[in-house]
Amino acid sequence: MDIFLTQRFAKVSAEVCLATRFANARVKLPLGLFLGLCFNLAIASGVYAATGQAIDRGQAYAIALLGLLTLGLSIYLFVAIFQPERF
Amino acid sequence: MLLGLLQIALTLLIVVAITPLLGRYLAVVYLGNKTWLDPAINPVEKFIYRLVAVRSQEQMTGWQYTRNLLYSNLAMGVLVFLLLMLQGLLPLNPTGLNAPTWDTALHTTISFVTNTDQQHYSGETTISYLSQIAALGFLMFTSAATGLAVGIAFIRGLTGRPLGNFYVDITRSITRVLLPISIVGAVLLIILGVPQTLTGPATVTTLEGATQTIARGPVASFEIIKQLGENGGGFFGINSAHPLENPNAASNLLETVAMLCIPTALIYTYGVFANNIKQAWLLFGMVFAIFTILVVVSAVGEYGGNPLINSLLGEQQPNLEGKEVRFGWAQTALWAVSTTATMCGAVNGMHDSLMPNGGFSTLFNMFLQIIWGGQGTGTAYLFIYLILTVFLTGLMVGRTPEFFGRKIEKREIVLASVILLIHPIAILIPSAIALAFPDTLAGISNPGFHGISQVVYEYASAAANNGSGFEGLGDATLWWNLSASGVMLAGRYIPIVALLLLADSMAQKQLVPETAGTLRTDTGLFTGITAGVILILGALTFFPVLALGPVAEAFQIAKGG
Amino acid sequence: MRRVKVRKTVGWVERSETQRRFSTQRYIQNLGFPRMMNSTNPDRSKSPRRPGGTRESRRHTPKVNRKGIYQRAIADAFVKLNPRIAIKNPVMFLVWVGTVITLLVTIFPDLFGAAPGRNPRLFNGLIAAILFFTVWFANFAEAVAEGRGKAQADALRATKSDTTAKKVLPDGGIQEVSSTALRQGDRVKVVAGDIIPADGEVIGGVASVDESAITGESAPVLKQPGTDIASSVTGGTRIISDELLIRVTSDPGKGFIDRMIALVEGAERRKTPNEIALTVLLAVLTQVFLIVVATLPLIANYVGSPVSIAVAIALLVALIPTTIGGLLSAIGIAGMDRVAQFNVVATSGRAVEACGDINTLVLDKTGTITLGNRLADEFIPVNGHSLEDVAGVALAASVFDETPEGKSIVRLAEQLGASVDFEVSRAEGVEFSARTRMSGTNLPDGIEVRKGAVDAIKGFVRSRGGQNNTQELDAAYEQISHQGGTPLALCQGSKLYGAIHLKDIVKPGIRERFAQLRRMGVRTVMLTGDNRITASVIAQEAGVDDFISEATPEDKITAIKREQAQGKLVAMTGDGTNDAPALAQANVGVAMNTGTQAAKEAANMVDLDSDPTKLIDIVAIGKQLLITRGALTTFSIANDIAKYFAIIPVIFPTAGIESLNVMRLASTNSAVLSALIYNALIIPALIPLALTGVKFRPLTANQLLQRNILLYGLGGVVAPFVAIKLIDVLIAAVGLA
Repeated sequence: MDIFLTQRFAKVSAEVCLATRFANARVKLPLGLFLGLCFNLAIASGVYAATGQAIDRGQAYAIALLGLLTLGLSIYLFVAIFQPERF
Repeated sequence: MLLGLLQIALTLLIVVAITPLLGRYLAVVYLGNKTWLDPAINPVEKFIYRLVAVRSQEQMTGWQYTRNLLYSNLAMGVLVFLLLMLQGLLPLNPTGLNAPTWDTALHTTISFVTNTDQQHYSGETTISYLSQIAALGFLMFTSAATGLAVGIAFIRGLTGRPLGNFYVDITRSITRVLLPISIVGAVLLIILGVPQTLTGPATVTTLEGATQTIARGPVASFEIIKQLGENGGGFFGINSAHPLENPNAASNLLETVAMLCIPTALIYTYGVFANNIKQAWLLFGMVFAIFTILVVVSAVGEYGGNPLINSLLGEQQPNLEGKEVRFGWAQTALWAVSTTATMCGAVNGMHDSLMPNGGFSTLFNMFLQIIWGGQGTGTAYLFIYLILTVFLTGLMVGRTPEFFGRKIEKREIVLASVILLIHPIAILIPSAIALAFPDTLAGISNPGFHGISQVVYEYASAAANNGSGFEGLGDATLWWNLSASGVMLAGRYIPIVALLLLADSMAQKQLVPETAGTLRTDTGLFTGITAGVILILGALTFFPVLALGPVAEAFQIAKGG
Repeated sequence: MRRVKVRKTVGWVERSETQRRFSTQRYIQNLGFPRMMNSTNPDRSKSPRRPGGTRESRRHTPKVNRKGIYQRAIADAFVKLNPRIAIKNPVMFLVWVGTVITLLVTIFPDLFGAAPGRNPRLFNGLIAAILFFTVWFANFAEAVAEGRGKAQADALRATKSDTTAKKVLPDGGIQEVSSTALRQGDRVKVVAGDIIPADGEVIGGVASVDESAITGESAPVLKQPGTDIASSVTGGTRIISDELLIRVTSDPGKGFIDRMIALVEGAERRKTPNEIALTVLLAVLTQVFLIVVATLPLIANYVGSPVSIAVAIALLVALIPTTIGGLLSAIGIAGMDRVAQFNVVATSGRAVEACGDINTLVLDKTGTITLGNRLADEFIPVNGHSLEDVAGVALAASVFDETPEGKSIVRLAEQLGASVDFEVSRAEGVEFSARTRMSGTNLPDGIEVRKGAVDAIKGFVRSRGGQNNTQELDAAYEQISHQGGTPLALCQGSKLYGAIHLKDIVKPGIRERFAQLRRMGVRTVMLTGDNRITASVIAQEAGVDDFISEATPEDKITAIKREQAQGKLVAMTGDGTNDAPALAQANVGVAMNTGTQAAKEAANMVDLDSDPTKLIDIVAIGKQLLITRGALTTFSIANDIAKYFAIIPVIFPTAGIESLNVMRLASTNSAVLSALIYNALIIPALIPLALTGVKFRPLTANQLLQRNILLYGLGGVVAPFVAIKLIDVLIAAVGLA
């Protein structure tokens, strides 16, 4: 059941990548798939493990996504630090 | 109480007295002026330069200086790592020690290359004499000299001089500063009872008739450079608390002064370089004031003792847990604050056993990195804060901010920011990860608020290249070795690169003449504002962890729980 | 009505009068012997206009309609919520993302784990709302600043409607085209009543042009080819007499007004170097606090004090420098707006900012430091005549002289008790001419009184058979020259009466302004074509730090380069073609609108009022811009202390650090909310300050710092403690949390 759910999520994220990336760059599809898999494997289960069953699977994914978002914002801020002219 | 404070005051007085003397000497050395050591050392230096084919007159640009520094540090690191891994096959190994695990060897190498000297091992049972002398002792000199070189190159850039030549700076640091003082210091330590021998451990019969093996070795030479070079990696596992490293109050005084003298003097050296002794004393005064406050805060905490134990005893006793009775609360508190302030990292007592006041002060020192700060780099970090203050206040007087007539622009702010950023990144992120997996990763001995202090301390110590341990952490694991290695590298080399590039860009700036519209940086007002900026930018970043660590612990103890 | 004053030559001025067209021109006018160039058209004037009234009264010359700015700004603030626009401001973008996340946890409170506490929806919803308003307020600040700029731009644009231009074809024919189709190098013809279609250079014809649309000055300006000052025309101005042939000097959309419009609208606003550096610092602080807050829940979790995502976001938003982040662009736009209000067109914000850094001002003497009019200061009798006699003769010689100099002679004579003792209507005025180099009056009884250049008067006296005893006159001439004045000789018939001392009058108040500049660390250098003696007298009187006498345009560049070699930033004003290289060389070059096209192209600012002293005001604006940024940044960062003390002690229930709650805030929720509400409200509260700028005082850097650090540093520490406590009391009273 667990495996089934994770697989489904991987599929969904792959489709999302497909939808957004396919139009402009074909090569980005494998990258998106890869990232989706990484997310599924590493981060979400890491969150799940850290919280010790206190939260359900959906929340684990939500927290993992939030973590990724934070990482994204951090990268965005680094861009702002090193290339302030763009802002 | 009074006696203890008197001891502290006396030590600090000696440090202040030494500052202008040593500061001027350092300036003379790095300005390339004549010293009375010249006749003895010049031929030696010439020989060294010839040997390694250094063109000593050649000036380096910021990038060249950086590249040479990084390559030479890498080469030294590889060499030492190999020495450690092969120590079982090499001579001077009376106890027949084998190679440590690869991750411990790696951590140890990185730790000593970066002047951190964090030790996830016990020296006497892990490292052979050869490794102690040739590998670690060697790095203690070179890493300290590297730090000094960076600090001097930074001061040169800031005062509009070319950065100099890395190899010349590192050579002069060793031959004219570290080695002469170390030789004198080591002799004094031997006189005070510190052993210096290559024979194996002594076996003695104790009064009760049992046999005891007493580890010994070339301790005195190791000890003095450990203190003087802000290394802090002890010959023995328990560092300067060990009676053979630090036998008595006199040796304790000598070692305390040795660890404080160079970082304090460098501020004065800056004054000589900048031809502005007044500003040097102002900065010195500001740092000295913060330092003294922290010493007093810690000393009062230790003197007051643990209320939980006091209530059991029925009287107020100083906190002597984890302390050497021959040093007492005052000298241990002073040492603890000094060692974290100067990024030395040697300890003469368990920091884990300090009262929350002490935990707060030691953490605070390592978070700021400028209350004296590491060898060379600490002074440079101080000027990073000064540059940031100049930027803010400069805007407030309606001019493009300038520091000594050099405009602070985007490039300078970016480089200063990198230094400002790297510390929270290197401390908070790994701490959070370790604390998220307390069972699998952290290995904390005292859960709760104290556990936070333990973990944060470990990474703060690594990131600030301090190397002292809060201890009580099961830190000889793969996770700790590797994560701390990463943090040490990030905390050492990223700021160094940024510092050198910053110095370079400052040196190349067109000088703006001083007018009434120029903001003077050598006033009490400006220095006061700098202190405010340091506290806001440096300390507020870590306010939450301090609140959850030592502060929460203090309230918990005060409440009696 | 202004008299036409055109002089090409002056022979009788005894001084090294050559070089600098600008001062020459003025100088000649100042000597004030007008000659009618075209008696049928007395309206024509080609003098650099001297707008009357105080500068304040002349601001906002184009009528600015400020109605509806706020309504439009309210709408624009919503438009700016578009993520593509929001992402341009790193600090506020984080708040924007935070708003979205808190909105999510308002809808799904259990999204990131079970939400404790009663009614988390309300709390999260309140946070989301406050965050939304924080972003919106920041957008609003920017929108208001832009709106004010737009209003100014609209007023300008109204002057610049599409017109049909009469383009002169290469074969000489004329084609009617739209003004937007004109390209650089095209030639157009304009006749009386036309709107000049584009910026250009007059290459033929003489006409007067009404430039009031741009400058607000109602007097028409004479335009003719070949002269530096009068040969450039600005698109949008109206020709009111005769006709001109103009060569277009700019492509459509790149003309003068277009540049001004783009600048005040903020459309082409590029970040200035200091702004970029500040952006970096703000991004770094944001990054630091992002790391602090992102790691905090993990650390807090370890001690069993979980921090909810909404609270973490609230803490993050409270700590990042939203105050300055939200107002930064508004400050920049408002700064440009302020420059525009002074009727100055700056080509870039960079130039305005550079003004704050200026170390040296290179100023022309004439028109900037002195009034430009030499006025009579004293009469020196010679050959035994009494002072009263001399005054009487001087008065007689000047009754028909309408120039400021002539009037000043009349005034001085009357002060000395002289009166006109002949019938003026029967007397005949003698105009100054370049040939005679003197002017005067033929009295009804045939006596000729003359005043003029010393050797000209000597010649006149000789020709009337007078004696040759000129020693006393020569001595007076020497004396006046040594004092830096201009001597005029005075005679009646064949008798020499004395000399008139014409003196350059230093503008009232200019000495104090230079003293202010000196306190701000700005050195002033006076440039003049006068000889050394004259220059030093004026320099001393005006209190400039240095002067360069007998200056040629090349001297100007040399002086600027010399200053720059010492690392100084130099500002100067100029208007002639030969000023162009110096204007380009200077760090800040301000061209007068009356100046040539070449000068305007070389300068980075153009003063539409052609008032050289305005440079001093621009320096103040540049400084004010930086001070406002610095002050608000300091304020924003200093606020963090109070916010920390409001939020941190209350969000870790198990940590037992409630005693750190020094403000005694009512509850966790009310503490978080009041810190956030303060954080949001401080933005609109500071909008007026951001738009008008921190008041600039001409003090030394240390005095300024002391003042500002007290106000914005210490104020920034204390104010939020008070405000947050107040808001907390209110929240508790309302029962919101």
